[in-house]
Amino acid sequence: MMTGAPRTLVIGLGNPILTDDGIGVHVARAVAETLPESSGIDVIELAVGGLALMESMVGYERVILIDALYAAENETGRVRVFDAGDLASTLNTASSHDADLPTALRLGRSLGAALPEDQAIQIVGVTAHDVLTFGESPSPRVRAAAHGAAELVIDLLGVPQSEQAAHTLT
Amino acid sequence: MKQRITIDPITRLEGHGKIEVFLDERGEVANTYFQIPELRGFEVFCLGRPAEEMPRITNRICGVCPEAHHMAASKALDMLFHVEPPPAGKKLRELFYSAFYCTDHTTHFYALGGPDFVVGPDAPASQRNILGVVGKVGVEAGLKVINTRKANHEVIKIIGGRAVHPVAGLPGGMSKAINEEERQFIEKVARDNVEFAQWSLEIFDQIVLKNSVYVDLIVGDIYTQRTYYMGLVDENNHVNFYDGMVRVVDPEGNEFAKYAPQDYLENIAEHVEPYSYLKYPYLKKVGWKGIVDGKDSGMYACTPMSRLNVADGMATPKAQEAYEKYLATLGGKPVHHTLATHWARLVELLYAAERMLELATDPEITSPNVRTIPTETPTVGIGTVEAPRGTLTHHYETDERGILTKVNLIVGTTNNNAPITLSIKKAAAALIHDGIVNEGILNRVEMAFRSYDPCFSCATHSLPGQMPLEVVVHNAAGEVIDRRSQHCAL
Repeated sequence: MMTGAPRTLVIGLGNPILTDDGIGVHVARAVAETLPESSGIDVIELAVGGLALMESMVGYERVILIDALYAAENETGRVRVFDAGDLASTLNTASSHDADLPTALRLGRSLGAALPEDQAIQIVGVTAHDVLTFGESPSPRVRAAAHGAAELVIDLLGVPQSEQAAHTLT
Repeated sequence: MKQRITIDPITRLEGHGKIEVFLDERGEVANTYFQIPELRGFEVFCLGRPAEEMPRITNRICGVCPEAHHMAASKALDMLFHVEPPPAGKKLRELFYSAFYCTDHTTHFYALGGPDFVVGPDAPASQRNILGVVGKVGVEAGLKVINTRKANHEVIKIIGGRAVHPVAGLPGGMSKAINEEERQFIEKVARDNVEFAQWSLEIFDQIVLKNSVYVDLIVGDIYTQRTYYMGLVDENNHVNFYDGMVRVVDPEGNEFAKYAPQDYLENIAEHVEPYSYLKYPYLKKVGWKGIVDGKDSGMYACTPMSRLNVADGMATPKAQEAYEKYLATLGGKPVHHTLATHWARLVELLYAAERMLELATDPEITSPNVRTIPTETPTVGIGTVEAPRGTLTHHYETDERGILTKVNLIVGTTNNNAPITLSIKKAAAALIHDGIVNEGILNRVEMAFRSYDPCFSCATHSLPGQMPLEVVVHNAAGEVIDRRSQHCAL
C-alpha cells in the first residue's frame, strides 16, 4: 500500500433504509462530520458482510465497526463495545451468501492478507429492535443512542476535543 | 473493561430461517414447513417517490445481489419511460452484469455450496466452510477466489460508478461510458475469469465427479424432483442472464411456454399459505396442486440447473463444451437432480466469463453513446433479469409525472419457494426416522436448499448473519421433541 495512507478505518454497517438496521451508518456519518480533515482516518458505509467486509479491512492496522445488535424492544438503545475476538455475530457482520466475519478473517489471514488483529477490530454495537421495516430513520430510542455511540467512537479513536470539528447529530 | 458477549443463534432465530418438521405416531415425517422472516413496508416506502430512484433504492434491499436489482430496475425504467438504450448502453449493462455473475457464482461455489463436496457432507461443521475448501484444495484456491472477487468488484465499480451499490443504470441506458484504459483492464479480468472458471470445473471434475459416493448423492432419489423449469433465453434459445424471453419447459423437457417478461402476470400466479408470508408462485395454466412435483403441479424452479434445462445450449464455445459434458454425464435434459445445480453454476460461471470477454473486446463497448434520453410520459415498466439465484422481475406503475403508484417485485428465492420447500420435505422424509435428528442429518437436509443459493435477505431483506437455521421436530401431538440449530456457513 501507499506510504502515509490511512491506517485506521471506521465502518458504519447496515442498511440506511431499514429503520434500526441503519444505525451503524447514521453513527458513522456523525463520526465523519466530527473528525478533523487531517485525522487520516477513513470512514466508510457498508451494507455487506462476510468476505466483502473482511476485504474492506485489508491494509488497515485498526478498524472500528459500528453495527446494530438485535435485542428485545426494552433493551434497545444501549451501546456496547467488544472486539472481533469476542464476536459471535452482529446483525450485519455475516452474509447469508458466504461466510461470517470470523471465518472470513481467518481465511484472509491464512492467505497472507494484511488484516488487523482481532483485538484491533473493535465493534461498537447499538442494540436495536426493528430491523425488518423499511424506513429511513431509526426508531426514537435507537436514534437517541446515536450521539453517545458517535462520542464513544471518537473517544476510542483518541481524537483530542480541541481537534474535533463542530458537529450536530440528528 | 471488556465484556464478552455471546449471541446465541437460537435467541436470534426469531425472524430467521426455520424448518419445522412434524412427525406422525411412528416418528416418521408427516410434514415440513420452511419459514423465513417477513420484511415489511417496501411498497409503502417506494410509493410517492420518483420512479428513477428505483435502481438505487432496490439495490439496497439485498446485501447479496444489489447488481441484479439495479439491472432489473433499470430495465423496468426503460419500459416505463418508453425508451430503448443504444447498443453500447445495453452492452455495457451486460458487461457489468457478467462481471457480477463471475463474482457471485464464484463466492457461492467456494464458500457455501462447494464445502459439502470438497470437504464432505459429513465433515464437522467447523470445517465445512471456505477455510475447509482451502485446506483441501490448497492456498492457491483461496488466493484465486479472493483475487477473482477483487478484480470483478473493481470492474463493477468502474462500470457501475460505485462499489456494492451501483448507480450508473438510468432509464434509457447508463450514466457514463468506459474509456480504452478501463476496457483494457476489464478485458484482462475477463481473460483471468475464463481461466479461473475452467480451473473450477476441473476441480469439480477431480473432487466430485471422480468420487462415486458424491455422484451417487447427486443422482440419488433424496435430491431428485421433477418440476417445471424457467429461465431467460436469447433468440437462439441460449442461456442469457441480462435479457430475452422467459422459457418454461415441462418435467419431460418439452417447451411449455415462451413469453416476453412483460407478460408474466398472464403466466404466473401466487399461492398463499397461512404459515408463511413468502408466497408460492406457480404456473397459472397448470394450477397450484400443493407442494408436489410432476406434470400436473404448477410448481417451477428457476436456478442455474433450470436455466440449463430450458436452454438449447450456451452461447459461448467453452461453456457449450462444459454444458454438453454436464448433460452427457447426468443423462440428458431435463436434469432433475437438485445438487447438480452446483455443477450447473460452474458451467454458467464459464459462460459469464466468456461473455464478459466477448463484450470487453467488442469494438463498440467504448462508444460514448450509452444513453437515450427519455421524452415520453411514463406509464408502466416491467424489467426482468436472471439473478444468479433465479428469475427476478420488477414491476412499476406511475402517474404522468413519473411518481410511483405501484411496485411489485418477484425475486429469485420467491420463485423457488415451492421447490425449496419440496426439496426440504423430501430430504427430511428420507433422512429422519424414529424422530432422530443429528448434525449429519441436519446438514444433509440443509444441502437440499443450499444448492438453490437462497437469499433470505433478498426475499425478505434482513441481513441475517450466518443464515442460522433451526430445525424443530414435533411429535404427533404437536409437542416439540427435538430442537437443533446450526449455521449453514460455519
